[in-house]
Amino acid sequence: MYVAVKGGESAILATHDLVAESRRGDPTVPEVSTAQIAEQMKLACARVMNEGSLYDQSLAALALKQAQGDAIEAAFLLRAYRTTLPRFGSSAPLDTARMNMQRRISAAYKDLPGGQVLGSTYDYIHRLFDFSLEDEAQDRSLAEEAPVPLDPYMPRVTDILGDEGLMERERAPADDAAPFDLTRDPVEFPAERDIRLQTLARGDEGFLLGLAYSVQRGFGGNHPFAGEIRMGETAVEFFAPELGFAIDIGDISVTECQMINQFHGSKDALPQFTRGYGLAFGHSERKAMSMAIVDRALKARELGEATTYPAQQEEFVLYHCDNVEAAGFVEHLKLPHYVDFQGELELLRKMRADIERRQASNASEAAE
Amino acid sequence: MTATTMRAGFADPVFDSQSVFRSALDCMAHPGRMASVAPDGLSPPAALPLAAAALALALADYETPIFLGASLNHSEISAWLSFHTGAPFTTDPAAAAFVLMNADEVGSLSALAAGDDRYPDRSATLVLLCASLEGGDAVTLSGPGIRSEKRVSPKGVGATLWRDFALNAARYPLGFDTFFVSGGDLMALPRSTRISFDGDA
Repeated sequence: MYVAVKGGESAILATHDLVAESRRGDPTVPEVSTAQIAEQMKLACARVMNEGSLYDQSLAALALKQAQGDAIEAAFLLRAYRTTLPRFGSSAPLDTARMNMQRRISAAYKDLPGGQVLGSTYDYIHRLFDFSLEDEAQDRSLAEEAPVPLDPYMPRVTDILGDEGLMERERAPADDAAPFDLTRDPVEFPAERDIRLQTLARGDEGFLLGLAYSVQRGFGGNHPFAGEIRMGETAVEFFAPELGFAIDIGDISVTECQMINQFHGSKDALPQFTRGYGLAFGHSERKAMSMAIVDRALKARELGEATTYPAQQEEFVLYHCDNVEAAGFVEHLKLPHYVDFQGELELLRKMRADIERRQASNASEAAE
Repeated sequence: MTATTMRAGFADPVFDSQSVFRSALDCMAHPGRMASVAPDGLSPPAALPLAAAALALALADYETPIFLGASLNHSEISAWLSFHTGAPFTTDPAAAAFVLMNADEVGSLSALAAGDDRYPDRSATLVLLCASLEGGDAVTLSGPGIRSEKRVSPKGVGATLWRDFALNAARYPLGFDTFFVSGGDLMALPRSTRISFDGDA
């Protein structure tokens, strides 16, 4: 029970000023601009866009600046803003096969059509400090342009396997109905895949990473292959009924991960690989990979596997991966619970007094 | 339909929507109370009264299918609503979030979405076009938002229609909600309002 607490208004208003002061830090240090955050803290912006469910790099940068770099607080700001936006339609499905590739790797095939494109990655960097970054005046060396452009034909690895029938098919629902919309309708269980993927897409990276790790370590039966991870810009198309055709309304950068998991078959169907799918805004490999592993784990029910482990239990995963909701419920404990607490305090005192009274009377009986 | 012939919607979409929403909210909170809306510049097609147009522009969007009664279902109105709200149209009254009809063309209202036990909010809002909000058959309203009783007499709403509204109220918390509109005037009849007829005990 929460009680409206009067008073403290001036102290509360003073916290706003203190936040502003703490956000600014030492005034002799130049203030960081949102453009600098958007350009130089891209990965943080991507995380905020994913968990805030809104693709807008400059707002993500503003959210990070306002929240002093607190990713969850920044995601919360973006979510709150998102609810105020009018809706005028939904885009056509993204075609990630036609991505303008910046990175594309497969841990399943060394030589695949289009080749491996390492791109910008921390995978081959020693975790040693580069103290030269402390020197702001220094020129940064730029990567050289490759002599030949990338192969325009970069089929998705899962499509290559799919053509041979070795990979579980992604089936569109029979009626091809519009997908569930997490932001409009309450989640219901059992949750279909559209609900699961949407929830995972905005889920907390740390939570999903931990769950994915648990699956690999044995709390779930999968140790998958990274069939393909691709990252780059992909066009967003919007079907305008007035025009009668789809128009390109801009590019967004996304990371897509397709995990190849072990076989599944039945007495009627030949064994096939099963897949886990992850898609995230920006360069968010860890998020996309975690999402793909958890997506596969959550298929347990459909594939007739036991749902023994946390990552396979959809209610557990879907209800707890949203960090804005989770933070709200955990942090609500800071709200005044004075009456609640007084109630418990009184009950505890009464229980103790009762026991002490009983013990005293037992002792006096024993003494008699 | 070209942009040059498209009649104006809200001059200031944000503040005009908010102001119309506030009027609609006040009406729903006080069933039977009349309000007027007159957003600057709003110029709907002739057959669509100002209040009905203002409600549609303030409330409808691309996620709320609109059903138009036969007297309103022509391209000038649908193109105008579509341009300013983005709302789709449906020919199935049960699928509509908003139902716009003339009072004299209403058949049965039982087909309108009434929500379900878990989500009574998934129901329709009926916008009923009347010749006037006064001067018709009078009924007495009571219930939440009405201190004791309230007499209303929107013109064109006859005994059969009032019986339908009474049946709708009987299914509360399910049911649809209604706005009566005439020109720039509106009046609300939420599903929670009880209706009694002259001569009722």
